[in-house]
Amino acid sequence: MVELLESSLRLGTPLILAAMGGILCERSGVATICLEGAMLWGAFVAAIVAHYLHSPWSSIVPCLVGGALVLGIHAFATQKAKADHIISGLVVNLLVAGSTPLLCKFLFGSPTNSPNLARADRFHELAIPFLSALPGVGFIFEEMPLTYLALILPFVLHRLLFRSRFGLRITAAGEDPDTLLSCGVKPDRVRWVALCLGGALAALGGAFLSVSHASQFTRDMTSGRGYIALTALIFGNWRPLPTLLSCLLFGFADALQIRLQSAEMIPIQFIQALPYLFTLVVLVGFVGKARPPSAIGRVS
Amino acid sequence: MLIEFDKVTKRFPLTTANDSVSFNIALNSIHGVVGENGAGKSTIMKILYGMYSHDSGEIRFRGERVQFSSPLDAIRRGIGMVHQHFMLIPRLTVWENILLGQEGSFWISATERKTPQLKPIFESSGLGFRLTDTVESLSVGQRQQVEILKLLYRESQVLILDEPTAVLTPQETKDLFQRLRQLKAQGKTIVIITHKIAEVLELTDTVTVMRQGRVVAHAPTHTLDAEHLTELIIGQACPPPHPRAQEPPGQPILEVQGISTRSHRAPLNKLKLTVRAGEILGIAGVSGNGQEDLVESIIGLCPLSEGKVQFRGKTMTGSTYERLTGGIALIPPDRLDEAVVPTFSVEFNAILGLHRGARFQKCGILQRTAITKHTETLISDFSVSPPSPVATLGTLSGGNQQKLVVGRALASNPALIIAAYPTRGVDIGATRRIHDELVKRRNSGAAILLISSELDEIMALSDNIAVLFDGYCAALFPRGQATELALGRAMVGAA
Repeated sequence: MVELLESSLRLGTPLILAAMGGILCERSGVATICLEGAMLWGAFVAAIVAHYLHSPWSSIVPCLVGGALVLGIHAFATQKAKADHIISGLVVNLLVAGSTPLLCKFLFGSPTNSPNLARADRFHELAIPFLSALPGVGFIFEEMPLTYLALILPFVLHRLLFRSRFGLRITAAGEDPDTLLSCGVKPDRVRWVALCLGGALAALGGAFLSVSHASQFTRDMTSGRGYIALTALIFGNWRPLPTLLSCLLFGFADALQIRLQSAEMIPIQFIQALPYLFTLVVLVGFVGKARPPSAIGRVS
Repeated sequence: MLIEFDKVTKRFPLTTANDSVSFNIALNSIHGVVGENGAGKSTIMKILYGMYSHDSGEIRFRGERVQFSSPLDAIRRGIGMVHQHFMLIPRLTVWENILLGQEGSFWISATERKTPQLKPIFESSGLGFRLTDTVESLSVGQRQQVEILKLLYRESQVLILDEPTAVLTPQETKDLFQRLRQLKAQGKTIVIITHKIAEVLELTDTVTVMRQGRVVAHAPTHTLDAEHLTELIIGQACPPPHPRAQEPPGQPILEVQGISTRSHRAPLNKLKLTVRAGEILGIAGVSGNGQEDLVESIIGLCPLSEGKVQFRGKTMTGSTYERLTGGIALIPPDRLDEAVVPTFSVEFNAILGLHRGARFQKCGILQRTAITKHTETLISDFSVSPPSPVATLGTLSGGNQQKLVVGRALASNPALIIAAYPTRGVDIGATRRIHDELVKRRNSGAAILLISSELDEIMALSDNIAVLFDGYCAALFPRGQATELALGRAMVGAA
């Protein structure tokens, strides 16, 4: 059981990081299906930087910048060029999905994956003294550095969103940009900042996949986790703390799926479909009660 | 003089909104700018507030020539405006709405009562809400108070209010006026844009009357009376209202028999009403006491938990569409939400709800010629301006939109007319036109259910007046026996 929970936590980590980024973007009023693209790009950038610089820590900053750039494209398209948010998000996703294998081929000769990272080039568990020895909950304190971040981040974001000038303006931009403008704040600027920050966080979620969970970049390695993060944040009603819980729930579904693969009675394809099925059920069954930001996706 | 307009002219592509407008607003006064919709009164104030720039002439503020390039400039100089449509974010709290854009420090606290600008307001109390309440939980009147608080927090010395009473109940209007007088006593200057004559006479010190973009009068309020003011506003003596036929009412057309609803808004509670042919039944009441549910129960949008509604002696069971094409006409309570599609043309709006009829479509293909003809008839019958069937509806003034809505509802000669807030946000000329039409229909035998928050309107038109309070009929007055006092008491449940 502890093993299952631990694996839920690990599989939940990229979802949490991406969903927190997504909350920033979506609360500012921009529909952000390109979380997927930002994650995949983050995974790619982190893997190649860690490969060349031989340190997982060195990959963090380039990865954040990379994510900010990817959602910067989305910000430009939606805020400056007034494009439809879904179309722009789709384009960004396709751009990343297409360019990463191309760059991989160019750099490493193979379009499907980057070289395996040496043990020293990726993240490892970091046990926190004393806490990791606690009976029962000790496993939480014997995790990857990015997992710790993912567990702290929602609380920071909660405080930022509901108790700061920045958060107030983000919410206002997502609720009623005209009113925000009448108060003398330009909503598109607020959204630029929110998207770049959000993109950086989502990219970090991708980095977890390539330099922490696995040890290389593989083509389309996010396999829809960006969309699952999006579902999780909708399930969490665009609020950081409920979203943290829903991400852990999705992580649990994924962990269960992996565990059940060893059971031979059920065809493996069905089991692998479990997290996606779970997403579908959640979206159809529960999300009706969620209340999205009023102005989300509206092209001004 | 605090503010001086000197020959200010503003042209829009098709019209001249302000034609050489000159008048002054004195420091520490309550100044009324009155006129019909489209008279240019909002435009001149929006120029002052920096939302529009003028083509010629000049504006002086504290003796100094100014031209604000944005509302922000105006706010910085101490001029604030409350728009007709509130600039508030419903999901945020009152305090967050007040702070937005002027937060001060990066971290903000949930409430801060010690703000010096707001102190006088909270000390005089009577707000009825807390800073931590979300704006969506407040009534319309309270939201307006939040708008005023916003201006005070931004240290506005001049407060411009655009049609502030259009959405308020009589009591809220009274409270607002008291608050405005208080603010004047604290040294503020208040400009109120309105078309309601009684309010101008009651509240203002000086008044500027505008008509077709020009100032037609500028005088201290005490030198004017209601009749004179009306004449100045509409440019002619008032035509006499449509004479009322003196026949006893006929058969009951609508019988509401003890209905209750379970909606999340104000539900109905065993409500009983009867409207007869040739009778106008006025429903007085503070909004939010079951008006919406009453309308929706009759047209079949709101399920009943008990009781029934009879139309011409038969219990109604049909769909909303069947009801609305089977002799019931509806003038919906909220024009923009329920009656029109602002982005559609006038002619499409003129057939909304009728579009399935054989007149306007054949095998699902809209018959443009018939539609245009129908629209042109409506336009000329109700003098809708501009008289173009292809104009986008949203470009028409509220009064003209409403005339079209009324015309559309009455086109089929209905036996029952539900007129919910038929003149909300409508200018004097259009109001008269709509009132006349309702009386005319009553005289020719239609049953009319008139719901309104304007007591004047209810008292002028109704044969009987029912007071709706908390979902039931709290009092019933025959024509002539209702006084404003008695109605007002019944409206708050003190009958």
